[in-house]
Amino acid sequence: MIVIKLLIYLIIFLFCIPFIYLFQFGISNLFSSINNLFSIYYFQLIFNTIALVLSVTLTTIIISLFLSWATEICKLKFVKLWRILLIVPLVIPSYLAGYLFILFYGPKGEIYQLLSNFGINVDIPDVYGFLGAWLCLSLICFPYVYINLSTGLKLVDRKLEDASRVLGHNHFQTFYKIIFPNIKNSIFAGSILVALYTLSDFGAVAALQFNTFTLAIYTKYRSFDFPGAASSALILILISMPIIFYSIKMSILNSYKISQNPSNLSNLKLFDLKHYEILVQLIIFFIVLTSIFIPFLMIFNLIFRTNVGFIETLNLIKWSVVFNTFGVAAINSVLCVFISLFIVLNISKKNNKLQLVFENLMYFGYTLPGLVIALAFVYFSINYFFSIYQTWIILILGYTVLFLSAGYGPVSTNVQLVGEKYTIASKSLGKSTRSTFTNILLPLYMPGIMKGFLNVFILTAKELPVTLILAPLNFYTLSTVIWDNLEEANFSTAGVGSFLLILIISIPTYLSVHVENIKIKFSHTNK
Amino acid sequence: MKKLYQISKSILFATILSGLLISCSTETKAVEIIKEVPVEIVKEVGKSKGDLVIYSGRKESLIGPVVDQFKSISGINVKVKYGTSTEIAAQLLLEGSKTPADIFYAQDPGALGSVINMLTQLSPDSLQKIPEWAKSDKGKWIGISGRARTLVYNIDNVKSSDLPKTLYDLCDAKWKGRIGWAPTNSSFQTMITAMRNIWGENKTKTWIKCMMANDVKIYPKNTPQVEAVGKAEIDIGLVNHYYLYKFILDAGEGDKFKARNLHLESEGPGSLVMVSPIGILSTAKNKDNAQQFIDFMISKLAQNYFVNSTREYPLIEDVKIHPLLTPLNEITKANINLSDLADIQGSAKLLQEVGALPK
Repeated sequence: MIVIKLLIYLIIFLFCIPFIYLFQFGISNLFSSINNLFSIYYFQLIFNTIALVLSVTLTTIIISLFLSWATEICKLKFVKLWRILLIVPLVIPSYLAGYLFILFYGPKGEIYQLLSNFGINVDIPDVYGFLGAWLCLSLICFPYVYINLSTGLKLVDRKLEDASRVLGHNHFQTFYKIIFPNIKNSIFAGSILVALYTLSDFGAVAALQFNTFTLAIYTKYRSFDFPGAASSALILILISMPIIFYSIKMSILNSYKISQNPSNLSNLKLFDLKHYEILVQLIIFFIVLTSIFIPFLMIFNLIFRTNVGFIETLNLIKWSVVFNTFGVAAINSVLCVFISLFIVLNISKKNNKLQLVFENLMYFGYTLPGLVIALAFVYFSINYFFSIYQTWIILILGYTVLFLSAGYGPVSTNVQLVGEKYTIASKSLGKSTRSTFTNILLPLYMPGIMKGFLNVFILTAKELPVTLILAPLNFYTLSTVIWDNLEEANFSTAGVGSFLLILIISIPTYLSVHVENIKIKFSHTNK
Repeated sequence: MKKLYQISKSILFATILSGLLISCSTETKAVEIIKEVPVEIVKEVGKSKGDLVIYSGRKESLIGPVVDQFKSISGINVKVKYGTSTEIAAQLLLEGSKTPADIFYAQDPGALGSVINMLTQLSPDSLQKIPEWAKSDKGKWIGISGRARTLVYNIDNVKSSDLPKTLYDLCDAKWKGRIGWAPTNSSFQTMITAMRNIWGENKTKTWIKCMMANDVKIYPKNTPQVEAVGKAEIDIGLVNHYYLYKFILDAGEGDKFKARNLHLESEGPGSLVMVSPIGILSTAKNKDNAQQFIDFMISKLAQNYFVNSTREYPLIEDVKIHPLLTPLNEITKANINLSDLADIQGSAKLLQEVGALPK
């Protein structure tokens, strides 16, 4: 028992490290920074940041609502292909996405050249600034909401739907009145990830030249204004607080509303779109086109821009880099899932206050720019834990603080959904706690665990700032290789690196969807 | 499921096949990235073992090959950490005396200057090989390679008679909306430092303000600016000289890439020639190895590598520059001591004050 308590406090301490660092460096300057807040410049900066966060979040919710409705509720051809493809946009690191976005939509970009080949000369709206940042981030972030929503829809009790139809509501009324309240929780779980990702994103906003708070923090570091950067980061946390409080409150409120009887998947009735199917297919195709095909096309454009062959360029990338990328992503995602499960099982049921404190801290970790987290860990380990400095341990700890929340969400939702009834039943049948956990509960938690694993895996594999600063010497990942070569205009190497990164990330992505499909099949044949 | 598996399998095959086809069909010339460096035997470098930790603000794709060569010649176990110069400087300041680093190799004197108190004296031998203008006046760092600030301009949209003579000419209203810069880039900030030294604070401020009034477009760094000039997204960019040649060589065939460099004729800040400096930390545990590395970097072998692969200026005598470059003695270098360029913070403050950088 004491060990568990100790571990919990250790984990909480881990998440406090960035704050210790920020207060140490930022508090002296905080007052004048808050004073600064009342200048027009800061007003603009905060306005920019909030506008971007809100619009990206709303857009991703709308896209995902449509997509999950189409792929989970409607009768649709190619649905399995869509389900896999619609996760893929996540794999593109935002600094790369920003670059590819400009390459295609930018002034005199590929789309301009494509159109002018057909003799069409249109003025493409300026992608720099809000428009570009909004579209680009929406396109790479929507799968966070989509993944959560489609899982949520699978778990809704669909018998209620039949009841509603019998009472005379049409399909959309039923969706709005019966299904929507049940998936609110999933929407929140996904959209908080999007909102905080947008808040802490540097790569895309830097490429697309939209000045947000995170960009301002980086700029301060680049001009050696450490106190200013630290106090700005504290202000960023202040901005993120309402988002985090609100979503945690909503997720707690909504967790009680979730139906406790996931529907029997075998007798699911799918909504027949009839002749509207072609329209729905076209919209999905358009989303896949803009969020996947175009970026991939641009990656191939990078690869084959020079006359160096693909294989030759491939030889420039060391295998150790591929191995490292896979290794840290796998270790960190397993660790994050373990910690999430550990926290959910040990705090959530017993100590609501501690849970609240922990969840807040965890989301702050996700809100802070990677650079801040990385420097905090440098400060901490240089002064107190020198033996782990520049080892992979500190790198993984940094990743964990950044990304735990992405794994925690799906795991905790799943645990709440399963509830206590199985435990009670199993125990009353005389099974031990351990046997109940491994034989009954763990398999039931598996969907959430897989989702959490996948989220963290993807985020870790494409992470850049923390890797650059905390990685051991001579330790490079695909992400650092892509960044390095993109900066130095070695486009083909950057392109091949991106291609490999996407391949690596698609392995667990494919597996998780595959496993889910097998499970569904299995439950079909079992009945 | 089976169908899906087949689809994905065939997609995978198609991609690999097309990759193979394209790589086979394109003529594989000796292209820059893989270019072999002529092997010479470097006598100064002996065979001693041990470790060496380098913090490098220059990218692996730039200096990786030359580091590998040093490794194999010297037998020293070299460990490198790559990153952004300013972020590494920030990290070094946090690490203080406990830093594992032996060497800091930065992109520009500004980033190195911010940690100058952590550096030790270099050996007189290596100091002596580098010209006066390209090293620290206190003997704490030397330049490894040189790079010039230039204006990169679009050859279709800017006539040679229209080309500006000094940076101040860019204030002219005819350039409105046609110029780009990268205010967060450390080379740019170093140029602003030079400007403050040569022009004084007030004139610098006026220049920044008039550039902003001329709707200067903001870029995150140098490369996208060169690319943007090539595509005529802007007509003039304020950059370092060497990015352009990569685009020209990549595009191939004559004038396909529509941008060229302009070295300003005046002695003003626009014709600043900077170096990427290297220094040894006073807390270094492998000082001898560090000195060996520096000696290697200013050997003919390494200097030739920089000429051929990064197209920077060599800093020792008897090494020829890349044929595409304007010789250093034809550039009227800005009249400034590179050691005076450490005050990046002051420049950042000025840029903030005027509103060119976030406060």
